[in-house]
Amino acid sequence: MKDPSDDHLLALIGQGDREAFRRLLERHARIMLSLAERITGNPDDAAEVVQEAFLKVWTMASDWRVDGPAAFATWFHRVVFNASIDRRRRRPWIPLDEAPETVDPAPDGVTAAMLRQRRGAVLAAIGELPERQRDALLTHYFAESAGPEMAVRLGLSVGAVEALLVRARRALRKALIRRGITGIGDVS
Amino acid sequence: MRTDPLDEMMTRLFPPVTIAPERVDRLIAGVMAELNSPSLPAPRWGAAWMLPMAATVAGLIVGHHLPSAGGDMNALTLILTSPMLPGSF
Repeated sequence: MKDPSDDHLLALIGQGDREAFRRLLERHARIMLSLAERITGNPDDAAEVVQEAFLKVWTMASDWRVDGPAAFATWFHRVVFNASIDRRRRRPWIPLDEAPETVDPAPDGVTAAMLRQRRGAVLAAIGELPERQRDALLTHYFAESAGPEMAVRLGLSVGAVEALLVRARRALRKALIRRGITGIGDVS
Repeated sequence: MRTDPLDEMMTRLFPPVTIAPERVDRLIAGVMAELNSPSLPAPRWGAAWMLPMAATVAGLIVGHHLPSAGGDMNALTLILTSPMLPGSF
């Protein structure tokens, strides 16, 4: 088969097929590394998080349900997102001279601390959203997919995805305002 | 087109990163190598299917041998509570 679906690969992986597992890795590794690094802010942490997540898939593939509530890619985004946040929490302090380059290549200590605090608040706010809204935002902001591709990932029509994103953005704005973050648009 | 301020903030806080192909290759090689690690829990090849299936079959047999309609209910309860019903992992 030229381009088997994730579900098909998972069925093969569930029978111990290493080549199918490699194909799943090749399909999702880059995007998951990107997601994990953007959240953890550290390439080494990102690699560890993604490696652990893939190994979990290997050991649990036979449990995967094709008729489950989420496409594999969406479910896997959620897993890597949560694991990245956990990793970020376990590394509460990074010396400034080891911190990865972010917005300002040379932020002073206060700016760096503020950025870090704000990132944490945004991730916490996303984590509190209803599952579907959270999936939509993760796919929109971190999975580099939009429109039809995003609709496929979420198992919705393009119109339904757009409506879901509107609701998700509004919910995120409200959650951020509750956390004291303003200047992010209309919440009405 | 006007950019959504929320989108702007997200890009500012979590700027896109470029993942070099070598990093992807390293990750894949690392994960594949880990499959041979003795510390990795053994995959449950098919076991997850066999247990609920066995429970369901046992329930059907027990239900079939029970004298009243309660027997069917027992089997049905087992089927409905079986982990084979839709979920993810």
